[in-house]
Amino acid sequence: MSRVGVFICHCGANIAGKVDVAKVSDDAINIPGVVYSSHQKYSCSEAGQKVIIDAIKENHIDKVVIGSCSPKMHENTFRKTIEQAGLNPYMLEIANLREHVSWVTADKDSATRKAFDLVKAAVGKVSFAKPLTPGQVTVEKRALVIGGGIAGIQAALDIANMGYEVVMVEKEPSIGGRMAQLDKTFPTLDCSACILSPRMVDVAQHPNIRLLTYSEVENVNGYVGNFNVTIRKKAKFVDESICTGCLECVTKCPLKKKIPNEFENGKAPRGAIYVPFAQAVPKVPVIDKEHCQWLLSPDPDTIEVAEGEKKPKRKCGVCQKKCEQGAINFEMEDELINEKFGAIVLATGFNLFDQKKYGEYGAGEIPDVITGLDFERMVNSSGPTEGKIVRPSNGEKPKKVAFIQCVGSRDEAKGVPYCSRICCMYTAKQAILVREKLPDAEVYVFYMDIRAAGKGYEEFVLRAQREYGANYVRGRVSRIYEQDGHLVLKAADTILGMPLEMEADMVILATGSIAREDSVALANTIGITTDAYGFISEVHPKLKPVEVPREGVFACGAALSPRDIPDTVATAGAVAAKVGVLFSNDILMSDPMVANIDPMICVACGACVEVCPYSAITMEEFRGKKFAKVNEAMCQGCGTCSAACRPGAAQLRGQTDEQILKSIEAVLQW
Amino acid sequence: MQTYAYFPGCSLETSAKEYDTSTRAVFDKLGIGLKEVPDWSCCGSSQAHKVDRDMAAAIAGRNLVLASEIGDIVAPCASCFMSLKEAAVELEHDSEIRDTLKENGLEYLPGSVRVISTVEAAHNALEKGMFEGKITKPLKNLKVASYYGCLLVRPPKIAQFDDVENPMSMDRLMEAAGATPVKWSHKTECCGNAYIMVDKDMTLNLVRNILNAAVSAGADVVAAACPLCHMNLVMRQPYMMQKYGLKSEIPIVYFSQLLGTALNADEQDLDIDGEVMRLINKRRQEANEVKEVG
Repeated sequence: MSRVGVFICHCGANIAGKVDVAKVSDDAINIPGVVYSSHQKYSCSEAGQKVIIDAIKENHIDKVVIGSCSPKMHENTFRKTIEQAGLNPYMLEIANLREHVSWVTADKDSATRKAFDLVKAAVGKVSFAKPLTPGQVTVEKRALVIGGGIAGIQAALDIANMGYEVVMVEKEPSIGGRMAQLDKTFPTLDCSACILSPRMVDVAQHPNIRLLTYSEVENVNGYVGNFNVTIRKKAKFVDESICTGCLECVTKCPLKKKIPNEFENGKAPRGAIYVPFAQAVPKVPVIDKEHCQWLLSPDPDTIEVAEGEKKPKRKCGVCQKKCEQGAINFEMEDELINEKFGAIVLATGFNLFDQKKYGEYGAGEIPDVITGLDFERMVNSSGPTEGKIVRPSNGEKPKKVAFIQCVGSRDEAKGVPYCSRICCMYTAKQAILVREKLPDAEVYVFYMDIRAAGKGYEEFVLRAQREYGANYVRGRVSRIYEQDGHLVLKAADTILGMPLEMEADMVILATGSIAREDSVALANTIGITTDAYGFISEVHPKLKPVEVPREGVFACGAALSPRDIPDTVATAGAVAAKVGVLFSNDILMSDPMVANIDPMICVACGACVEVCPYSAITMEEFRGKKFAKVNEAMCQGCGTCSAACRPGAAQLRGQTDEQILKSIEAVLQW
Repeated sequence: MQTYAYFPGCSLETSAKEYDTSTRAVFDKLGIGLKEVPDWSCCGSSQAHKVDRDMAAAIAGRNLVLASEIGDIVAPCASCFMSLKEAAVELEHDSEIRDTLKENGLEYLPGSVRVISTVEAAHNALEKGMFEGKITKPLKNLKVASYYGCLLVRPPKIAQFDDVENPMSMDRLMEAAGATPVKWSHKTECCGNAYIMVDKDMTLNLVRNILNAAVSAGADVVAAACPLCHMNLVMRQPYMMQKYGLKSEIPIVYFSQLLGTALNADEQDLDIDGEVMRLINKRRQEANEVKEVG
């Protein structure tokens, strides 16, 4: 028979305000097996823990029930407490009297009754607890960074500088991400490329970083310290090892003015063989197989022709002829790489809201209504207009420019309800750039309210207004249409309380940030979750902001939620620190509360193998008998196999069928 | 054969007879039955809901109950459409109004009737391919400004049809009829509705803006789908040219008249103005000439 000790915590007034803790404690002593029961103000405090330790020693308690807050909060604390008293840390059961009782029950009597029921259940369960010992796993001290924007770059450099090996995977032909597309950055007006490019080069040259561009992660297996990752290296059709980056091929591609360049937000062309932008890293072109004429034309070897007739040749092939290095290789195929990593960093960034969803702003069909990103490329000296601010419809300088904020953000009807956090600031910056480049142009900014929370941000907006003379109008624009060569904006000025009609030459929409369209698919590949919008969910928004629910996986930057460059860089640094902490261990303790399959009971039906979400169960054979076996390092302790196992061979340690049945029995009997 | 309950409403018996006859002709050509709601009564537009929302729902609700014997209800008038659809939404949630109707011998089963406009019904037919092979007299070269007005797609939570800011369904119908829909700015702007009685100046300014936008976009005609819009847009064009800066007169027709023309429906049913018909034929001729030259 066990000797169970029960400790009821007041949690200040959190529990004691709703639950008669003295009554629960007094009644608990009558539960069979309980030899000691008391209540105290804060069990988690140092004094509270000492009471527990002393009581265990004095009363020869061998199993402990603590009625307190959620086990998510303090289970680990109390495990350590009872370990100090000489018990196995797993001889503990928490009855959640706060989240499950006092916080959610209105009436004091029923709260007290429910609290006592939960204590009975916990005593029943802990009576059948068995001592558990954690296993050990080694740590592969290499990190995978997915995404080559500023978030990934910062995280990769920081981890590499700690002396660990990093592999960076970027799906585009170059690293740089969104930041590379921007002209200036707020609130300092630094040139974005000037502060980013050196870091891009650092990544490429760092001895500890291996860069895989034009590549995507296909599969992730394993567990913290030991992930097995499959990476698809898409065929570039250009041999990186011999290409000198002369770009002769790019200038000779007959399609060089035909395909919209994604980097320029589609507002400037590229060829079928291209580098996305001048400062691309690596500066090696790729061939886009969706467009390349050579690759699209049929293979002559597969065509059968009548005798005497000539076989048709492949089309084009100009780049191959022009390349003096012979770096063009049309036979190249996608390559699958398998690598082992100890940690994975997600730095996959964000997308921008599609203006097509705004019919009232022309649904993307009015040429002079452009997005903020279009403007970034336009105002950039290496962009489609070489930095000249012009109306896309006629190439003339605009005399009046209007900005509209919150397009897609804070719009539950057509977009997303959240604030994108960057648009107020980038609009102020763009307003300044217009006034700098076109001092004669008038600038109007339509806003809902200005959210400029950040170092130097409010001052920056004030500068846009006072120093640069941008006119801020509080109100939404309800419609934009073309009339006699101008745009007409219908709006409300909510400060004057009057409708407003205004002519403008160009309108720039501050489209909000949204999750990448493939973020949910990637999250599924890695086995983590996203929020309702597709952003990666963190474990705790305040205390674990860069950890995700799969141990050993971290996320940073705008993949988590909309954020600006300073916050992105800060979270990237935080991720690097977390990876450093992980890699400071040679060996990790694994959670012993994992599944175990008794080979003597197992009938080898395979049900558990099918239901296991972590592929942690395999079929084994020993002396002719087949049975299922759990890889304890891969098991996450979800218990699905145990539920599926008909003979009851699969048991989750610490949550065995026996323990659960005893806890139900305890509630029903008493 | 698919059959809708048809709710003509008061305008279609008086000021907009051609909308009624052309609508019936179009659906006849498409092989869709329209069965008039027996003993239908006023839909309550556009005053009842300003007096008492419950009363408005009950007034329109009577028609929904009568229609439920036949099937889903189509209303050509945008104002009838919105009154009936709003009532259907109210009745869905408000059992008290349902009880009131029941006490009067009219039992309404929530969800028993779907309310749609004739534009939506025709657009559904288009999506089902029911126009195929039936456009025997295409409106070649005719530039049409499709005018939706306010109530056909708004408020979106009630109307539940098409893009609220940039509707395209009527444009697609016109394209199917062989015409060329023009891109223009004022397809959902307000025509002033009954305010013409209260504030003539404001209403005529609104109408002038709409018509000038259609003219600037190069439209030959404006296609309407509401008798009230039609009346406001048609009347006083010469007066607006004198006093309100209207650029030029432009014919206003019902979308059903144009569709019917392309479907080769009976001319008498369509009742298209002779001048508009001449314009349609002129554009067809131009199209043929271009073809021959080309």
